[in-house]
Amino acid sequence: MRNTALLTGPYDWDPALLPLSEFEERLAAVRRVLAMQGATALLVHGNSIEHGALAYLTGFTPKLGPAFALVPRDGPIRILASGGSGMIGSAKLLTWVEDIQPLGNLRNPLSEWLGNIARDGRAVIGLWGGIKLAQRPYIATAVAIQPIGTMIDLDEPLDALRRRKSLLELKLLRESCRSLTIAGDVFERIASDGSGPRAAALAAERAAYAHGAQDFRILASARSGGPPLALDGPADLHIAPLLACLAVRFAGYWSEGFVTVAAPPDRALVRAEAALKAMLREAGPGATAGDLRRAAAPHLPPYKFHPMVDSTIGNGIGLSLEESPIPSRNENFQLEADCVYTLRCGAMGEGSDNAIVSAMVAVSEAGTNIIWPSKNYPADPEILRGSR
Amino acid sequence: MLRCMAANGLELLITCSNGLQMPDRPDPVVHLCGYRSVGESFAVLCRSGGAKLIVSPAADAERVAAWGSPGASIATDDIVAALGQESKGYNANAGGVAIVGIDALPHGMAEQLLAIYEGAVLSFDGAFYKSNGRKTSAEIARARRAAAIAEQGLERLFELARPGIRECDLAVELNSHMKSQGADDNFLMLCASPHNPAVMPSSNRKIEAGDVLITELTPSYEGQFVQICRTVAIGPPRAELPEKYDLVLRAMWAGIETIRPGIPMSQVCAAIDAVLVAAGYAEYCRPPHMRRRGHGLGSGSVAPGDVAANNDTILEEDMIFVVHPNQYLPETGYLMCGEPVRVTATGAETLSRKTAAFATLAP
Repeated sequence: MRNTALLTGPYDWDPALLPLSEFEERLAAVRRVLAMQGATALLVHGNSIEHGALAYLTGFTPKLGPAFALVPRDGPIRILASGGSGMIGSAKLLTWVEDIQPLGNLRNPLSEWLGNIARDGRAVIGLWGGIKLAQRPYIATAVAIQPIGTMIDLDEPLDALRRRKSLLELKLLRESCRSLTIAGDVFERIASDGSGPRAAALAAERAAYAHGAQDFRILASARSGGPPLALDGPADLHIAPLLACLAVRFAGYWSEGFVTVAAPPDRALVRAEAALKAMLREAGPGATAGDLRRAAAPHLPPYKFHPMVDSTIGNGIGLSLEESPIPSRNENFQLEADCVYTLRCGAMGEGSDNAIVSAMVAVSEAGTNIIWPSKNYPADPEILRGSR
Repeated sequence: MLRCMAANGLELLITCSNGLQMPDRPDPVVHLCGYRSVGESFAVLCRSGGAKLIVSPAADAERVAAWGSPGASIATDDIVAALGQESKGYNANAGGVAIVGIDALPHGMAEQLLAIYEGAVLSFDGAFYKSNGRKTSAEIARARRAAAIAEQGLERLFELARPGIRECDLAVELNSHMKSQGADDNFLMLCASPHNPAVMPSSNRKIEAGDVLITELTPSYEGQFVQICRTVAIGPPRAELPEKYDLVLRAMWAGIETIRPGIPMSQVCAAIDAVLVAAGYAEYCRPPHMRRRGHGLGSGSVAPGDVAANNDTILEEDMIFVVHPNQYLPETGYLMCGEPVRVTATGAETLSRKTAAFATLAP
């Protein structure tokens, strides 16, 4: 999805949606991991491109540049936020964390904080959310840590925490899916009425925001049956079939769905939906990417797997649009209980004869619930299968 | 650019983008070839004339293929590996390679890149942007369109800004409205309070009577950002507001009237500061109250850079930047006025048709 220069939706922390107790539980879990890893403290990075880890722990959404949560093993958290001192008041509205300081040059405020943390000797400083940490702040971070200790990457053990969704998170994800459904319905209606993807996208965006969304992103075909792409330029010709990927964020949580707008009967769409249904029947804890592909494959011919979903049949989703690990071409990637995924299937024929559909599923030991259906899918909740 | 490479003894130029285009930060890939990548990307230029665009994600293959000539681009999920493969054909020694924009890349990717091009020149950014700081006629046309869109956004703000609407809802609606006029992105800051310490991203706060609403509307049209800055009183303003706003406006025009080819940008800043210093606000012309009085407008090059006391970039015809005094004053809080300007042969042309004036909306 294309990045946006400045996030403008409703991002202030709302305790009615995400109470402090939820964050306290997360913080306690993170600190248990720190203790197990022998870390003295943790730096949690986020920027406007990717901030899932930072949002998980603090609720903070960085809008103006990088931000770091500085997390000692005990005691209060501090956030260093981009923007001048006059902007701190606005930053404070985004989080439950009370101590927000300007990031400045990063090195000085970080060194000052680390100096207090490592008073008793060498320290081990964990880094979380560093995947999109840019080279310049990374160097500033490394330089600040070097005199007092070493830095270790804690993405793997800490990402595992946020992959598993609490009941509250599932509720918020369902709300996000509801906004996605509304936006998707508007998109399909406008696109079917002869408008171009740009007009349909704009109408869908307005609908999503009207239902409480914080953000809306979209990719759509640039030619009949073409793959969903970032919308370029002001031209807005009607396109059919129109393939699109819509994403909506509500209270920090992303939902994502592929839709294919085509006049029925669309053979590619029928095949893609049949293949996705077969995939979903298989989507329980322990199912591998290979299992899902094998389940889908018999339903596609004479069509092929659409190349856009051939390499990645889906991924975890939540506070990030793509939560690690990304399955990519790893056939052994396994669905886990208590995680939420977006799963896709696409059929590619000749020329414009293409379709992509998707569903979001909440996987649990008790079964798998579809929490966002493309059209023609069973309504939520639909338990598809039990544990393997 | 090829001449610039030759003058600096470079065989190979690698420009890097993180896929986040901003109004006041350069994107060297956009500057070099005009392509706005969704993910990270490289644009590679050989002195021999060959060029290659390597973009992520792989799913963008059709988009990048439609943009460039066949064979000139690669879409992949691993742009460093693709560049590594391509580099085998480049035959450039380490000292003959320059990398521009590496600081914005994710550090893991940056380290991989540096491992391939150990010893590459990393200090070429200045020369890279300086070699062509003027906007092309196409960029100027886009800037004019973006300025018109920004003004349409302001008109919509006048229609909607009332007590009771949340800042974020107003910002979202303005954003949508400007998109409906052709904008493809927007750096839209908007906030309101009786005494603003700075301009900030929109919060969930509801606008109230007696607020001073400040905003910078920064739409991008086909990748070219333009910015206008405005101040609006919600309800009858306090007596000092129009008076102080007039001061800030005079400072802005002093800056704009100073602009002409051949002068350093610092003179524009000095002209703005002089008005405010004369009014007794010298203290507020320095950090932490003031860092810059405007800036260049990307998303490619942001030449000529910040309107700042330490920027000695010489202005050239067809450079485009925004002049915005945007001053905090103790009596009123932060006040905003700003116009996008193009440097002409003899002075400056404002790209907005209706320039900043203090506005009051009925509560």
